[in-house]
Amino acid sequence: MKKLNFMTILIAFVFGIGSLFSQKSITGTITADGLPLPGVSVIEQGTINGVNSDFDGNYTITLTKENSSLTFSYLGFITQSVSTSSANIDIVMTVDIASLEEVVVTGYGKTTKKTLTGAIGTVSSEALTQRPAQNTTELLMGQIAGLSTRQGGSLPGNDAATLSIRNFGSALILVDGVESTLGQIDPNDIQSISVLKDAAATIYGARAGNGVILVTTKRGSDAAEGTKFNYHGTTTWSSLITMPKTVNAHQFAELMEENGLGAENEMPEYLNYDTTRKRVVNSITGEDFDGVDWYRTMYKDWTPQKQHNLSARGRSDKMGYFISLGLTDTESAFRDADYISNRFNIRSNLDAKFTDNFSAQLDLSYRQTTLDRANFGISEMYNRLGTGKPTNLPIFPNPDFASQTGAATPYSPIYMVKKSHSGSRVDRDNNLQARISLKYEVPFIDGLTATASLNMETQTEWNKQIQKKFNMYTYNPLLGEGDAAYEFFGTYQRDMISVNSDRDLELLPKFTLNYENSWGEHDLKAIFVAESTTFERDYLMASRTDPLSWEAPYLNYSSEAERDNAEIFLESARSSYVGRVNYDYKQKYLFEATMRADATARYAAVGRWGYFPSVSFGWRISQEDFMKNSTDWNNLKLRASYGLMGNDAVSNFDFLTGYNISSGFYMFDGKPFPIISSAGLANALVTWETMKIANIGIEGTLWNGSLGFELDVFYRVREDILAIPDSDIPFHFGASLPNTNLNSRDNRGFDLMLKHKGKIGNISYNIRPMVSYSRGKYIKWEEDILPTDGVDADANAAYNKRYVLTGNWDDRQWGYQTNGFFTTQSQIDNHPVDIDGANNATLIVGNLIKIDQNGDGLIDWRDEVVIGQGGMPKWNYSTNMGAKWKNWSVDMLWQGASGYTITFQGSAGPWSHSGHQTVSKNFAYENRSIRGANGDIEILRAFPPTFTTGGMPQVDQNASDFNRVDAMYLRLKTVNLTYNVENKLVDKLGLNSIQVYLAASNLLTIDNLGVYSGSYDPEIVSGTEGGNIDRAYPNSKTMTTGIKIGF
Amino acid sequence: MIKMKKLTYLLIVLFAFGCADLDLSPTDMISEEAVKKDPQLVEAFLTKIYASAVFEPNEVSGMNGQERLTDAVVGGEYTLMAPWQNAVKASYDIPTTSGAHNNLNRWHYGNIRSCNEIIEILNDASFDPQIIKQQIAEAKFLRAWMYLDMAKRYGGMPLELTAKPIDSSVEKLMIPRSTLQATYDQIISDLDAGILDLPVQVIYGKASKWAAHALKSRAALYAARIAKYHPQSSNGFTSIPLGSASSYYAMALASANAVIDGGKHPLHSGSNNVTAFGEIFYKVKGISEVIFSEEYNTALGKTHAWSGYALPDGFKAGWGSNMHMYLASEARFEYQDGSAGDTHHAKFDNKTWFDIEEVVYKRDPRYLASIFTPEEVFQGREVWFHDNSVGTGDKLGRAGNAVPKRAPGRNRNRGGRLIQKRIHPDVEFPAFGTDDVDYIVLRTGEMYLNASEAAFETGEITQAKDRLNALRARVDMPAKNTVTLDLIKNERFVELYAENHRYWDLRTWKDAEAELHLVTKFGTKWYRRKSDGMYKAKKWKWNFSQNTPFLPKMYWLPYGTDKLADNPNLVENPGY
Repeated sequence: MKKLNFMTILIAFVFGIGSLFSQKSITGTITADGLPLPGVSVIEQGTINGVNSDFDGNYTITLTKENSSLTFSYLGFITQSVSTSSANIDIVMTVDIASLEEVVVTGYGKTTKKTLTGAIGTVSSEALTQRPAQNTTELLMGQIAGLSTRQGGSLPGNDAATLSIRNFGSALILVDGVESTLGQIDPNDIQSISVLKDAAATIYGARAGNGVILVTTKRGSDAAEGTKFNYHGTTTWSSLITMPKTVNAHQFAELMEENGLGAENEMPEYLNYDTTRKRVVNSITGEDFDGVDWYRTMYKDWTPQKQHNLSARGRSDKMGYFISLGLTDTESAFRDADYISNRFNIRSNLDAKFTDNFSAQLDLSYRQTTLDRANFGISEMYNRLGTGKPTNLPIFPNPDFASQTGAATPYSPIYMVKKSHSGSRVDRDNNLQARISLKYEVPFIDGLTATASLNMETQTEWNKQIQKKFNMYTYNPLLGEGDAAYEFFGTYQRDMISVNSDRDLELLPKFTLNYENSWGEHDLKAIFVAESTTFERDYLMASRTDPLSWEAPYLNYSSEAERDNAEIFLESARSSYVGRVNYDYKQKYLFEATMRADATARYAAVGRWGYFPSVSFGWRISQEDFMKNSTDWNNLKLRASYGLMGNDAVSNFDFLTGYNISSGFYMFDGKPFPIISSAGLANALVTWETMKIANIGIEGTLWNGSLGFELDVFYRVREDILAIPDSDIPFHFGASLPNTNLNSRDNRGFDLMLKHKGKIGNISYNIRPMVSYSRGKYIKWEEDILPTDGVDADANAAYNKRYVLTGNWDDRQWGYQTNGFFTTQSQIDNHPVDIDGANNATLIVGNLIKIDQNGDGLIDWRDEVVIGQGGMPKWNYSTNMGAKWKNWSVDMLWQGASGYTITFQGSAGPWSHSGHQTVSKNFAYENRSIRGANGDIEILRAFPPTFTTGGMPQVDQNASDFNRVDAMYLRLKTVNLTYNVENKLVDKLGLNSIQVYLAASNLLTIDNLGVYSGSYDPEIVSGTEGGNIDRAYPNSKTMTTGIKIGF
Repeated sequence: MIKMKKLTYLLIVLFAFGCADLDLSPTDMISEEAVKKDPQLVEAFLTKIYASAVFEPNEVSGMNGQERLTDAVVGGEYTLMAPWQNAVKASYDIPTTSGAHNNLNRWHYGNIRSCNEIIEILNDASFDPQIIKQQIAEAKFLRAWMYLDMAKRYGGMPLELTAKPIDSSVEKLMIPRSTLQATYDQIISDLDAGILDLPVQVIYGKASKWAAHALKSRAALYAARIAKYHPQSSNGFTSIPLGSASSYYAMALASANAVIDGGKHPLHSGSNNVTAFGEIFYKVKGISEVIFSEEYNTALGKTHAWSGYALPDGFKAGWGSNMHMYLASEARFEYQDGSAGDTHHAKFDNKTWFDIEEVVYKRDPRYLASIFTPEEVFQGREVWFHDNSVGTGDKLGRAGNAVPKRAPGRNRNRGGRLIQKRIHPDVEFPAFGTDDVDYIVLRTGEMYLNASEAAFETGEITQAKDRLNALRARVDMPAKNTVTLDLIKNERFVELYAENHRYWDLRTWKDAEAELHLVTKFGTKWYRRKSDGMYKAKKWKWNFSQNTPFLPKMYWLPYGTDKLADNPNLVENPGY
């Protein structure tokens, strides 16, 4: 509250100032290439007073200050400033070939592309609203070189793409300067997005180590003009792009027979297997029963999604405003659609000018997201869906009786996704953010402004789960007609209600001093910021079982017997000071230095403050005399930067010793007894990770903008990574040593973007390919490295080679190299290498033949080699392409990745022939025979019957190259056809503009997954290293019609 | 001047905004000083060791671990529905230098350090000396439990008996393994402290004098068997000198007798032998022979999933039909007249029709209490196992219900018998993971067997026979006139079936190779005649029950390269 008092003082203080000046009008005509240019923004410099040129390029502006100058700007043209010495100023605008005037948002400020010294990628609002996305993160795909994006599935509410700058890890995302999430912002509200890839991020200090993504929302338009309304609406139909195809009933029975399991054993009573015809037959009708595909039964073909946004934007003398209302409504592809996500966004960004040097901003944004769904776990559901036998009906003739998959345990994925059976779950998040900001242009120091702002954010996450028990049945028409055909088989979950609520409150006051001035050929900018954050979270949960009736699904009316509740409270705080100086000489030699001091409550008071400096330089070679008159080069700039950053979200109160109170208990004599446990040894000096990043970049534009390029090469060292220093402590010491800042690793790589634009006849086109690469090494890793002298030298060297990470790439996967299968018992008997450690006594036909790399006749860890890379692609590439013809334009985005390994395991693996668990995929059936040892005879890979009820043989469980693919893919991410309706028609309707478009996403994928292609998605898979790739909701292809109306 | 004043205001505001209160503290911690002064907090610290001592691995949340089933599966008592279950994988696994299978590995040094810390806190404590003495004894009992749990797996252990400070010298930190004898002696000495200072009258679920005696009896018996039956190793890490066998047998006998004769935990019996034996395992609390147990409570949310795995198809909601008894295991259970357990197995030829009342229901009551058998009446209905019905007719089942053509797939496709021990018969269709039947850690039945074996091995044949026959008498099985080691071993199998003893018995007796290595195991398929309810059966090798290896090196599990890399003074067990 103390801080608020200072706020009051400030407001009172600034309100007292204000004055009036005499007025003067200026008129003129603006042209380009000899033709009038409408819509050029004319602004009186240093004010928000401005107008737009009309249809004939004419403008009239009334000045508010004496001796001011006018700025003329228009997207794609070089901005000009002219002093207001005469009453008539005509302007000829020139095309900005190198986009040098493009405004780039940087940390705590803005600059132009030409004076930028850091590696910052930008995305404009146009690029973000070209196609719809459920989750705004999707829209960043393929837009910025060095920003790796992966879409891990399209499940409503869980569809965020992972964003990683140069494979560093999760980046800090700031929306209008406040740490936030990107996914739930309405893309129509976004003015621009900047991605700070190098030391440019240092200004965010202890949180910036993995790079920073800055999102800026729209404000009132630049110039005074009438209110412009915009409506943007889309309707999208989406359809899943991958789906594993399972075997049909006949193939399933054939596999069971081949594996000696007996087809009859695994079939409902009313089906029989005709072994001679190899057909499953319905014993009542006598007809062949082809079977059912449970995956296809689970999904609908097409699912709708709707988005609407209505906004108003404008500026008058004293007020600028952007207000917006957006809503998005998405359904899942699950057949019963009991899985719906929707979102409301309301935003109001207001600018008010109280006096000439005193202005204010009031920004309010509210967001509500709701996920309303049946009560089940996605991964569990997919696990169960995979067991759906083609011989068992997913939906019975009487659909009131819940089916089961035919697995040994009662699984009913089809009914799990129905609210009527499994119950419901509603997640509702509300986020309200309010910011007030006061800006004072200090009149007695030219170029100095002071800004004070206070951001308050409150977020409430509320979740209610109604878990219902339901019965599953088997269907056997032999038992009788109607209900008599259904036999009870089992139940799913128990009746329970739980409610969780999570309330966050964040307070972020910020004070900024900004100074900007030029003397002749010297430009100087300086900024000083002081800010702090306090954050509180209070989490409450309660649950009870067995409600009296589902008519009243509330905790109050449920059983007293198993009441449970909990409260967890967390708080954190941070204080920061930030400074930056920019200097340039002749706009040719550019220099920037920043310093940030950060302190957080996570660490002990001693050494709590961290200092994060950076420097960067730019040299605009094209401004040098020897290049200035070059006809080839429009722009050439060399940049270099170095900075120190941190990652402080790695430790919380690790500096304290004592005892932790456990939330668990142990029972003695019918009563729960509390538990405390030693918090372990503490490290008073524990602190954040440190990142040092160096970046060299070169960017240029040639031949009147026909070709542009931007290349950045970087090297980052990540030091002080927390590790437990147990290499000097044996395991029997018994205590976990405290986290200590010990380890370090690095990343190296480059980002390259090319731009080409041109014209063929009436068609103008552009193409923007980009590629990036990033790979890391362990520099120093806390681990046991054994001495390689003395008696055990060879053994120790082998251990070190296999297990030591220090000095090695960070994405090596180890395992066995294989050379086919054993196809006969005699082959096993004569095999010279002991594969199982028991002289091959436990091997059976069908086991993998592992290669004895060290020739010692025994397969063990010493025979493991590097068989794969990490799950994160090292190479990311994409191309944006566009063409325009009259009112028509078409845009395309191709995106892809390579340099990563996918491991096909679980039900996605090749070993899924199974009696009572996962049903084989079609590709496993098709590929179940292999070449024999003599090369030409096909031998049925009769997976050993001893193991077929459960999948993979034990001896083959270890990682091997057999089920790994070094993957790559290229995907037509989006294609978009836009038509701008003729002006005449638009005018007739009394509107400003109408644009209609057709967009599609994920239409085409080229990958190297071989037999797995089409069943599994290389983009999802890359995000689930070590996870169950068969248990993710797939990505979707979408078809969208959209309309944008301006009025 | 006014301008300057305004600028000053600005600067004040500026710095004020930069400051937040950074001296926060976590919300879930208690200071060390508080713990040292408060016996209740020491109690809470002790309770943590009970909670993490893994008396019984419990995995309600993790569906596929099935760790609690591991010892029985690797010990060849029964197998599970599917080979991908980790407990079955553990039985196929031949450990390498990379370490043993996860389900078999247990490293308790974190808990051991906690015990040592507690003992040190108590040595300095100034509250009630009686409480101090008792809490020290409790910590020592728990420390003994954890060393025994490791020693039976890995052999001689590095013995940590103090909570060493982090800045201890390398010599102090990098201690070598103690010999197996020294390890067992340490366990026994901790238990002796427990015998001395633990209370006689005890809170249910907490260690008592009798629990210390019972655990000492078990530890000493293991030590004695190892001394007698395992070959001597040069370093003593995997053997105990043969000469000390008799003194360990004597200790095992003395402690077992102390429990038996102590009168606090007499054997439980009742008018119906099957019911009486069965209820030991599902009632637990209030059963006199339970010496030490882990308590569960559904209302408080401490539950397990035993019945969820064990219940047969037709009686359960989720998993179930998971633990299948081998034919060879059944053969160890005699008939009530004392005839051999495999008496009728010759009839399992897929031809001979027989009456299950005679073939199945005349066995040892402990069999009937421990196993679900064909047409057993449970919760008023039959448990069906038959693979098919033969002929025509409508002879009803043993509970008078109509008979399905075939039993549910999971009941008929595997062993033909399922494990029943521990299942509460009053709970119908329990949801998976909601059981609260307590787990017996130590009971008097084992003490009779320990006493019998130890007496036999030390030449006290009469005592050996008496203890054995006393155990048989409580279920009205006929007494044995002569006693042999094989008979005692068989009685141990029958009495302690599915209680996680067998694997460790086979290892300490050095019988594991003979009993387990690549032994072909069989289940039974049952066929029921519709006309008269007679059965025929065939033994069959279901498709994953072979290839369970047990190599000589597996008597001692490996430490593994990662553990050895920690301390250059450690030596791996032979064969790895």
